[in-house]
Amino acid sequence: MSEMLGNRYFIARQYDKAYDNYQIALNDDPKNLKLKKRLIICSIQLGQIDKAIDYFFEVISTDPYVIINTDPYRDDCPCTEIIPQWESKNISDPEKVRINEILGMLYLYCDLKKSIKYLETSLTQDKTNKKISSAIKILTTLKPVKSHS
Amino acid sequence: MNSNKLNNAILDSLGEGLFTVDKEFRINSFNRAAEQILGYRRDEVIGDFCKNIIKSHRCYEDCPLGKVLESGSNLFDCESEIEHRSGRKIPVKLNATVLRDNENKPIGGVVSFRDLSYLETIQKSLRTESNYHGIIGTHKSIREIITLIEEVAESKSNVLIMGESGSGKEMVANAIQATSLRKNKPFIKINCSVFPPHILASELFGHVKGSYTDAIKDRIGRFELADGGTIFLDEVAEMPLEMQVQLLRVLQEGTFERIGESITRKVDVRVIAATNKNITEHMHNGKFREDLYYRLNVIPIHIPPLRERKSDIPNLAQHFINKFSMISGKKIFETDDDAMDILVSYDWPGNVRELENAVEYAFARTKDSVIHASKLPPVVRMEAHTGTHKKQIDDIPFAEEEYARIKRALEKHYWNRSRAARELEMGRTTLWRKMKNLGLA
Repeated sequence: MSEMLGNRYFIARQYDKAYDNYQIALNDDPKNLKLKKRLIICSIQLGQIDKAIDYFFEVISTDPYVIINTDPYRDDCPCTEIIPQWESKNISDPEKVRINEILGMLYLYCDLKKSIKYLETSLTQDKTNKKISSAIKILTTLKPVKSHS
Repeated sequence: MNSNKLNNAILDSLGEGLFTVDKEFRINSFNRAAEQILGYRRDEVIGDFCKNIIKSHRCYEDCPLGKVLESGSNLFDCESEIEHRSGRKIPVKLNATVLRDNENKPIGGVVSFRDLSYLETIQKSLRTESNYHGIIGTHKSIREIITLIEEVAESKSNVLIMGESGSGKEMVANAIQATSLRKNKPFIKINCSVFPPHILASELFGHVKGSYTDAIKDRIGRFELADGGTIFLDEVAEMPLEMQVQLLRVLQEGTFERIGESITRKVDVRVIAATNKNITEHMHNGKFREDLYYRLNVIPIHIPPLRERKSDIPNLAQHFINKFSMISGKKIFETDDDAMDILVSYDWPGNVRELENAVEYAFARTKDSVIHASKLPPVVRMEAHTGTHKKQIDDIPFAEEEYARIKRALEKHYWNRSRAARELEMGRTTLWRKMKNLGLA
């Protein structure tokens, strides 16, 4: 079990196995933001949205540019494949908050403005979410960067 | 020379393609052979993910480095397919190793690969109109066997192949399997004559630990390995009688037990059996069970000895010449007339296998582009019957067919021998010799 094995599964889009390996690697290196950046995506794809928000908040509190400066090709970022799947999901009202949270996190890998927009929408639906509220504060103070999308 | 340059020089000196990756699977070195095999320049691929360059199905399902990471053992000679820049698939055998730091943590990997396209080229060029899944010949008896194989392709009935040693029983079994609905399922082969009885039972049905002295761990048998597919039982007539009972049960019920175990297992296996013995005689002598014979003999195939299909000898000889020429790189294209006379005259008690060996022998001894009679094995030269090649060919009805085939090709190409020879997939000299023998020149 290792970070490298996690990478092997991440690039093969086997998020469950990548998640397990990254979790173990994170025990050895708890401050590794690259691992957390990938764990956000793994957690989302495994339906562990609260876990994803925890990792998301940890990363952007430390260095949001770790996510913002992602290059879809050079970093083999799967967001371009994943975002359309989540955007096209037919969901009921109670789940809309979660979808907005998910898209808010995913869009940060490629489009800061859209990321903030989705996070703000989710906050209007659930005003008590302190992590999302703090995340918006961090992101809105950043200088705008060029979108990859 | 700094160490980086030295490393690159070492890697570039290798004949195998080789690249290394970091722990994120980004390529950080790419040798010259890899550039040639894959069609990318080094500077184009450094920093890119290996999956974007190699484009093998294994990248997603069965990453070789991933396997090494999981098993802890290096990978050798793993068959795979990678993609040339142009999109062309390249069959390769690859090795993979993980690189580790001082704390034994994986920090990257090395993948080396050998291009096997040349083997496919050989196979392709050896595949001609007279080559059916490795069966060479246009003699009526061979054409009938090929027709039968095609007719029974969708059947899962058992097959019994009978023929002298070296006549090509395994080749026919291969062709049956390759054309059957089970072609992508396991194909397990076993020679029943090479194992003592208790070992043969263990080989076929498996055993559990402690069932006999040498059974130190559980072992799966060939029938279980072949489940869903096909098993080829070569030299089936050599099987001891007590084993024949067990085999009969598998054929009738599809069930068996591993040796030393009472659990009954069920399998779905098609059986292709072969023998070089007179199996009817074996039955009369009580050495082979009649009920087993009828179970196996659902589709009987008799392969004639080579001496009964001599018209195939020129084709077979040419096939082996092409094969050895490609394997060895020697530029030998054909035999001379005298050598062919001898090959056609000889009785070939060892059949096609003996002919192949004779061509290989002559090939090794030949220095120029034509195999002369003097280079053939002494036994073939001495025991070949006298008589001319032409006479031998004339004795065979097949000659008429060949006459028509050659004439057709010549007429099509306005009697241009080079073009006709190319279409007929034979050397220009061979065509000229055949034209003389058939009265076309």
